[in-house]
Amino acid sequence: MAKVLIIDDDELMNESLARLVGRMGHEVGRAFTLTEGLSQVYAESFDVVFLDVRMPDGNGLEALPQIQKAASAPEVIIITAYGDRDGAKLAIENGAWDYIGKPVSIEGLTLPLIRALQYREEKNARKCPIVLRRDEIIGKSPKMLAALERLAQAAGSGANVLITGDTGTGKELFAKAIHENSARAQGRFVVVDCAALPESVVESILFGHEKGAYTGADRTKKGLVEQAHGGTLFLDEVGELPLAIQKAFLRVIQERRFRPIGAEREVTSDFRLISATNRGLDEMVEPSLFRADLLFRLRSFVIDIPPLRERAEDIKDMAIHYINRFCELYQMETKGLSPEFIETLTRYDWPGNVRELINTVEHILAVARYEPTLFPAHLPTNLRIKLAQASFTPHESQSLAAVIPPASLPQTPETLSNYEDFKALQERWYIERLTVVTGGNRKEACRISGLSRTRLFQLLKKYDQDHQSEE
Amino acid sequence: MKVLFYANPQSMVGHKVREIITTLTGGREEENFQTVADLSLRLRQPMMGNFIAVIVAASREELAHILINWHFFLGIRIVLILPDREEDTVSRGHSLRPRFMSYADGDLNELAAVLDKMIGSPMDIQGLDNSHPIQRVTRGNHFLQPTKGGNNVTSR
Repeated sequence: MAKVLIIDDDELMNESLARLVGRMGHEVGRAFTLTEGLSQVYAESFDVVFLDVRMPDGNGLEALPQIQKAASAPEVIIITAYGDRDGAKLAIENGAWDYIGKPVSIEGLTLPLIRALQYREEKNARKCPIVLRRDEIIGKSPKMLAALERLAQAAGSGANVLITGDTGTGKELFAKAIHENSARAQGRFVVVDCAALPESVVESILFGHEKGAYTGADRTKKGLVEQAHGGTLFLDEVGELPLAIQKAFLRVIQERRFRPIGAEREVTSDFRLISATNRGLDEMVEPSLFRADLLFRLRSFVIDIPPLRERAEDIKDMAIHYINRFCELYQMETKGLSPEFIETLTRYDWPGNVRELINTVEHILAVARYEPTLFPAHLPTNLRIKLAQASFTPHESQSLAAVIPPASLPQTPETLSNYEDFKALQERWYIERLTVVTGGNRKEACRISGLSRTRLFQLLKKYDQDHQSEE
Repeated sequence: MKVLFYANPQSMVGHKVREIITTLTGGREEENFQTVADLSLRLRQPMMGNFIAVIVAASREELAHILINWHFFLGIRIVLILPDREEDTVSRGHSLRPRFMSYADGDLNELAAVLDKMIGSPMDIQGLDNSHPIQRVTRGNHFLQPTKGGNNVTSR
């Protein structure tokens, strides 16, 4: 028996759908507003969510990512009386299972539900047997687990893989992990750093050359494509590949054959291709900076690595891992971590992602080499300044300006605000940060804040932060 | 970009590679090591900023010693010059996941062009063969054309 949630403000539709799902033998949850639906999704575990688009308190499509972030990561079927092509595209791109227009027949609702549940059952069954070698890939947040599941699927297939993600998210580590978990693990893992290769030498480096092919080619050289025979070729920063080489490479991908510079015969190379980019390759197609046909070939299978700011719950584990790793490397005693230190790391949004975190850990250990315990004061000054600045949004700055007079002004009864106003503003600030830092995990929020569950609930409700996850 | 450079002092190619690096960095952002032990010791010190490690392995034994220390190269981009082109040596080289790999008897112009792009500064390498089609030599704003195959010349 599966569990299905219906989020639709149309009472008749909601009721009919609930009866239909109930008759199919599944448990049903019902919500008539988005807020109510989101709170149920975060409080309970659902397999499928039927989601209406036009809701009294917001747009269902905009809530789709939040629903998918829930621990149960339900499949979402969009139902709408105002369907259009753009909405359908947006929904599918954001991972909706289906997009159905109203009015709809019973069959029109039943079949997508059956298929979504079948897909989910098979997906869950696949999860168990795969044991990944993941080495430095740290994290167990839902987003990271989803990416690791994709990694496992990629490792089990021979398809070309495109890994996308911001700078510093660990795309090379993912590529290496795919290789090491694949049938080609005994073969070479050959890195091509497309960003490091000047245009004039890319062809020679990739495809090699014969002796005398050009002045200076005083001996025959194997290119990286040939060196990857039997293993994996990893094209890092593939968006930097020059257009002329893109054309040549397209043929290599299609035929796994190429001609080294100056050679009479073609060479065959049986390699598995993994590419990575932090650039929007789709946007590069229109201005002819990247070939659409090559992009089509590269992304047979796509893995998107989430930025660190979207998986804040992994930061603590990562920090501990790298602190221990560097302490071992530098032959230091391992460090104790104050709760405030971890909390500060978690609050920062890490624009440079894992790479920035690693650099930061290295900096901290240089500063606190002889300190047994790490505190926020050991963090780099620029990071602490950014955090301090980020804690004041423009709106809040204005609000604070209203209640806290600048230090340059004389502290008079006129410039000093009412104590209750000031306290309420600070309380709001704290609760909002607490929600962000814990990702809405109330148990964690209670632990960090020291508040009782009842008091925390009261404050979350008071400051409109009561729509996050329960645990 | 800072460079950690390792080469055995007896290695002739090591001297040439060091000359390339010194030209690119002006010697300012360069740390030189002549034994694997010294390099290993440095790698156990905190690295502040972005580093490239340029390693010239003069023999397979030396390559093996460097491989033992591979886990110290955390977050450092590696450019590797191998002692020979044997299949086993090449496989060992790739296990370090270098961003670029060349050989002791390889094309130093190619290596210089790659290092130039990685380090991100114009270059003027003395003693290199300027006739190679990939050669791009700059001196201030003056671009010296290669003597042959000039259609592949690039400039910034």
